[in-house]
Amino acid sequence: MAKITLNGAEIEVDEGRQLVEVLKEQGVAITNLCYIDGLEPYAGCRTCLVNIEGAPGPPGIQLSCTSRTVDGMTVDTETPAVKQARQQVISLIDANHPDRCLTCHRRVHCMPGDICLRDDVVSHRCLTCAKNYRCELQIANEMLDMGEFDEPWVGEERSYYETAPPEPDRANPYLEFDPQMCIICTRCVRACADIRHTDAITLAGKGFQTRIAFGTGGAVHESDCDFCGACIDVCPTATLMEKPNKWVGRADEWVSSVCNSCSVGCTLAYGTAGGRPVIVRPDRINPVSREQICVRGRFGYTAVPERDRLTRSLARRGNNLLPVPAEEAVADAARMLTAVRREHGSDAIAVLGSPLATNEEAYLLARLAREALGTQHIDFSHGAVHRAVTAAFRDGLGSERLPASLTDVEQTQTIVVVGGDIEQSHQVISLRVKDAVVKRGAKLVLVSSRWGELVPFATAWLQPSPGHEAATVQALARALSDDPALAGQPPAGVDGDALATATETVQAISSNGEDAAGFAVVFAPDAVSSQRASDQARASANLAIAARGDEAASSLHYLPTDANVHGVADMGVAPGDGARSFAEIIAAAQAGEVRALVIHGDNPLLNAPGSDDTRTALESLDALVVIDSVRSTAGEHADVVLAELPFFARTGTLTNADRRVVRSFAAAGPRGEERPGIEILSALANALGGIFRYDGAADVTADIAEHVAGYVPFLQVASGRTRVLEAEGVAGTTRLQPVAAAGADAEPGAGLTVLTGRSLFTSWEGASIRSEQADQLHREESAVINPRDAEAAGVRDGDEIVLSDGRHELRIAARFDDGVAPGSVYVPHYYDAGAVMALFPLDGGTAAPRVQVRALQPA
Amino acid sequence: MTLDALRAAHPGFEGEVRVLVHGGTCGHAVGVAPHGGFLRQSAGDACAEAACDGACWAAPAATVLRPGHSHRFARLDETGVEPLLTCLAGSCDARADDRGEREHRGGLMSRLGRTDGTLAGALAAGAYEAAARALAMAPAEVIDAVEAMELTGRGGAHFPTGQKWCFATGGEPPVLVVNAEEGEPGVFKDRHMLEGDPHRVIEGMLIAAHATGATDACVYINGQARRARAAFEHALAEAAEAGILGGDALGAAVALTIEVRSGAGGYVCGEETVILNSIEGQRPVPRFKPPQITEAGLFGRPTLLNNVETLAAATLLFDPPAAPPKLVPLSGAVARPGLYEVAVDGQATWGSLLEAARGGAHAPPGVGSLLVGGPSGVFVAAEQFDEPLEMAALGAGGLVALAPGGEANVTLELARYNARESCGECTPCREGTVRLVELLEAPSLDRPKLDELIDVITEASLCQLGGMAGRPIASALATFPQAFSNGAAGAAE
Ligand SMILES: Cc1cc2nc3c(=O)[nH]c(=O)nc-3n(C[C@H](O)[C@H](O)[C@H](O)COP(=O)(O)O)c2cc1C
Ligand code: SF4
Ligand code: SF4
Ligand code: SF4
Ligand code: SF4
Ligand code: SF4
Ligand code: FES
Repeated sequence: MAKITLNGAEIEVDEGRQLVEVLKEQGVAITNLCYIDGLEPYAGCRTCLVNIEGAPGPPGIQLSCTSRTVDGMTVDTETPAVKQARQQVISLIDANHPDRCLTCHRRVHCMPGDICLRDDVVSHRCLTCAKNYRCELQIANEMLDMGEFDEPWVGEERSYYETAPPEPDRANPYLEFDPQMCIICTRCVRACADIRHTDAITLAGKGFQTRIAFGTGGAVHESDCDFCGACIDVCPTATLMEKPNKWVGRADEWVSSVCNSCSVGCTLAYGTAGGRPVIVRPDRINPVSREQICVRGRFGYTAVPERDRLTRSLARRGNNLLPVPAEEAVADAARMLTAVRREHGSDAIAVLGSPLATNEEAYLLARLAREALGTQHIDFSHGAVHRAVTAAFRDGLGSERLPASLTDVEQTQTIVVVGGDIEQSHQVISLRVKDAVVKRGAKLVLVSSRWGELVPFATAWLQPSPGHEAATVQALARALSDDPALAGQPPAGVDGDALATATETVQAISSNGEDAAGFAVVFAPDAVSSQRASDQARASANLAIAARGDEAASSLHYLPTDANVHGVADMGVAPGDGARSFAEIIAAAQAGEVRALVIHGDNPLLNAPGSDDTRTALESLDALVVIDSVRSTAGEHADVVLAELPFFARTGTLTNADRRVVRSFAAAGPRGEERPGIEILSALANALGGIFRYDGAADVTADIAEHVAGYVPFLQVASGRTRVLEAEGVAGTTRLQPVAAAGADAEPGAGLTVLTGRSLFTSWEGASIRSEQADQLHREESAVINPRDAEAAGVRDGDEIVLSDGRHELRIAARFDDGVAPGSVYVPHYYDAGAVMALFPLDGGTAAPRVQVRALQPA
Repeated sequence: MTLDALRAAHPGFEGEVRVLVHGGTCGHAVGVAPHGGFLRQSAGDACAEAACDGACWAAPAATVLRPGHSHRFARLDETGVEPLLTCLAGSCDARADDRGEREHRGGLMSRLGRTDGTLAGALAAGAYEAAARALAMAPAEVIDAVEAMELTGRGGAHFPTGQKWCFATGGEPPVLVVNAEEGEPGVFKDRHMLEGDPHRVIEGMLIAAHATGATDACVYINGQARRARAAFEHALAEAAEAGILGGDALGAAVALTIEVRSGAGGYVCGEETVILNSIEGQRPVPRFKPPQITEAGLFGRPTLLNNVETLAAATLLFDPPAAPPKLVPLSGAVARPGLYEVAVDGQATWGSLLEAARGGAHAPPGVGSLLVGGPSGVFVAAEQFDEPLEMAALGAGGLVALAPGGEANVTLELARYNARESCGECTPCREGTVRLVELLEAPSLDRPKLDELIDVITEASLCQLGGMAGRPIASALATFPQAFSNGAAGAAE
């Protein structure tokens, strides 16, 4: 502790802290336009000057961002000399900024277009700037009373635009870059480099010509930028702003919410105005994500234009789905479901839930199925994958509720990441892995058949042939233990040198070390095939056990594909004993055994393998009831569609990857006849003869707390800190398990293996219909193919190609990239409404499907 | 091995008479090559190429060295080589010019451009004597000796060198970085030293390394100074070959590895932390201090950074001249621009220095003022020419003689220069230096604004480029107020 005298008052603070942070904590108004809390100071803006005596260094006016607290120092922030020095510095910034409102005492009286005291019309400057009233530079000017300070360097006669201002970049759907507003504080450069490890922004030029540049100076979307928006959060001016809400993002209120686009469950703060969300900032509540989110969290709420949302319920009238009053739609649904139950029994009814729904909705859906419809046939389209993983964990580690905490990842010394490209699927975890590598010198071993942004951070990248991921992880486990259960063949496709490096890396860990900081396996399962997911999970568990013995469960991090997979499974959205799983429900529907289906917030046509089967199944149903916030392709087959509020307008809880319960509050009210899922499900259940009496989400949470082990009432949820784990620890019951040998590699000529995955740029709702934003980026429009294979097939880069498996043909442009393993082709899941899913068998299959590739014959 | 053995192993040229053709940057710029070619034909082996000996004005030039006779023939393009050939033949009885006759042994420039550029030539002229002695001493004693000679940093800041070396010892051994950027306009002393006496620089580095425990060094040479880099690298190779670097040719084992680096160049690239960033491959902008680089510098290591001349001067530690020597590159409105070695003894004045450079019949009508220290410097008016020279006031040493009446124009040019060279990292310098130019360009000078602007740039800038950008302006305003009555631009017309 250090005693310092701050503006005459003696206070105690931690010794050696950055003075500027202490000043801000003490509520001192201090301009600090280039400082980013927690990063090394940059010391460029020179606006944080204060008077310091009694510290090392000459006494007098010094920067507070580079000074550290020491015992006995005296700090004055408000002396006339200090204020004048800061005013002078800011005035130099103002002189090169469209700013003159900043220094005008009349500013609050003016409106855009008014005749100004000193100019013609107010047509530029703060009053007409998108950042007005939420701008740090503006606040800095106000703090320093710049309105009373004249503009010493710029004559009144001089208009700001001495030269034509640099062109803004508005070419991408997310980030607008208006360089004329820039004050070269370089916060964005450092946020992108030091916080996000992306390095998309650089400084170009020098002196007065210094500029911020993306990539090599071209458009933002041509750089490495992935639109996380971390730079937007730190930009003190209007230079970097969100494009969708640039002009409306002035919040009246802030609502704490959660992103449901992946299982990290980043907490978001929605700024709202007029009852609608207008801007998103990271909400620090979730200790894993803290001040970082990804493009899906920041912009997901805008992925679907409001006009494309479902605001009214629909019911089939003749051949058409027509809007009907909500009550009528519920009554219709109940009538049809009752009819099926009466004629074919309740076994002819099935229910599909959504891994993106809240726990409360999932709980009610499960009750609806079991109590109101009397069916045990309830699942979600990825259910089998999740159950394969949890079964593997129960077998190997004694529980599926692993204690491993994702907050540990950034502290870990050796990390093995197993799965696809987690940069795209679970970006904030990818970020924490990078943190560990960059800030702590951690060693990263990557097991992925496709290049991803983590590759440059990896000590070793093991690139198995698709399907050999589990065998690869198993080979790593063998390096740590000679247990016969780990026996197996060397993984196909993996480079020998890389494997040797990876082996050395894992062998270097202090095996069975005492702390979780030593080792982590981060595992994102194959999202399509439960068989492969099972093998991967078993191999990952083996590796954790081989490394950490009975403590393995603390080092194994499972990243489910979707936001609330843990939660919906816990809530009972899973087939009862002997009941039908998703694939069985679809098959039964095709066979006419299942005749009615209720789908809540899922689109199996997009999400599940075997979309041909799903389509015929949906078509052959007597009754299809869909509850959704958008008009999805599955909804087109429905008899009744009940309009639900979008996720950001619902209240409830989610259980994310490491089983943290996060609370999400509604950031918008209903429009049209949208209703919360809880209300819809209750109404439907009651119309079917149930007695659901819930007064809002918290009421459901209370019920959950009573009936589901580990859950607590809504108000007791410490959002992001409450975790649903085993009451007792799970240590001490580990068992190594054999892993099925990967299928033999097909002969040459058997075609290319198809890979798919969720891209970064499509949030759930955007994916479930069509995301205008993702479309504008044109990143999901081509299949990625290894040049070697492409040449063998006579395909040139950019050619239109056809992938065919004998039954289906998929047309898509080819893009060459040796980041995909030879012998495979990657098709974005999002492309053409999930067209690739038709190539996979309904149960996901064991081996990935193979396709022949040919160039489309010129017409 | 001992120094004597080393000398014996490098006997060098044995003839009595030598002709040294002064190449170097100055010589080659004015086409010395054909003269050199001709002389080689006439004098054969006795003819060798040397660097510029400081008499840049004399180029193209050659010097004849005979026992007891050292005679530089200036401006061969004007005079032809006949007189030189006469001298070579032994029949020259003319009094050689002042420079040619001066006894050079002992001074900083004693070997500059006066050897044939080989290690043997340098050894014969006394190179590595000081290093051999220093290596035999305890490091602390070496630092004491450097402190005793009151050596200060010749990069311009004149920080006491002994003290700096002392800071760099004690902890982890420092990395030695040699500042040979010399980006300041009007300064060409370090380049001359690297071209004309590179072994002196290596010798100084050996002494510094021994004193501070450094085992690796990096010499950062201006990217445009290609001759300097080539000459230095050649000397490094010779020194390594001879066992001076990495061997025990000086009587004690030397474990110093020296790497040479160059950057893109620019004024600010001579600032010490910019050099470190540049070597590390970062953007060439300054770092803020603390930490001082002696604590955490290159790649976070303790770093000792010295100017070329500082290290060269350190070789004089056993035989320090009575008055500290300073290399002074002098250019501008004088007949004999070039590099001068001045003894800063309290007697020498600006005037005496100018006198040496004025050069008889070539004397221009007059020098109105001197610009000392280039874009960070000050003006010395003619009335002050009688004032004695002070070491600190000399900065890096660059002097530009200005004809009367040019001050306002030069001031404006310097302001433009600083605005152009600003790296752009900190607000006051990036934004303020262009406003300085604007104010100076205005039809009438707004003194209060200008003073206030100079004040904020000086006080609040991150590095001394900004910190000193207002200095020449303030100096010009104080020294020649009448020149600015219509603003700088007005006066320039
Ligand atoms: C803008 C600027 C330019 C500089 N340029 C040089 C230079 O070209 N050469 C040099 O030796 N020092 C230069 N310096 C000074 C160095 O920062 C440093 O003080 C010096 O190299 C230290 O060596 P010394 O103690 O041996 O003088 C410059 C300083 C500033 C602020
Ligand atoms: S960026 Fe801020 S200071 Fe600049 S014009 Fe906009 S609101 Fe005003
Ligand atoms: S949005 Fe993210 S990735 Fe893009 S430049 Fe900003 S910080 Fe970097
Ligand atoms: S874009 Fe914003 S954050 Fe980046 S340097 Fe400019 S003002 Fe600063
Ligand atoms: S998609 Fe995942 S990583 Fe991205 S903001 Fe949402 S929860 Fe966070
Ligand atoms: S004073 Fe000038 S050169 Fe120095 S850091 Fe600031 S902008 Fe760069
Ligand atoms: S915050 Fe201290 S210099 Fe910018």
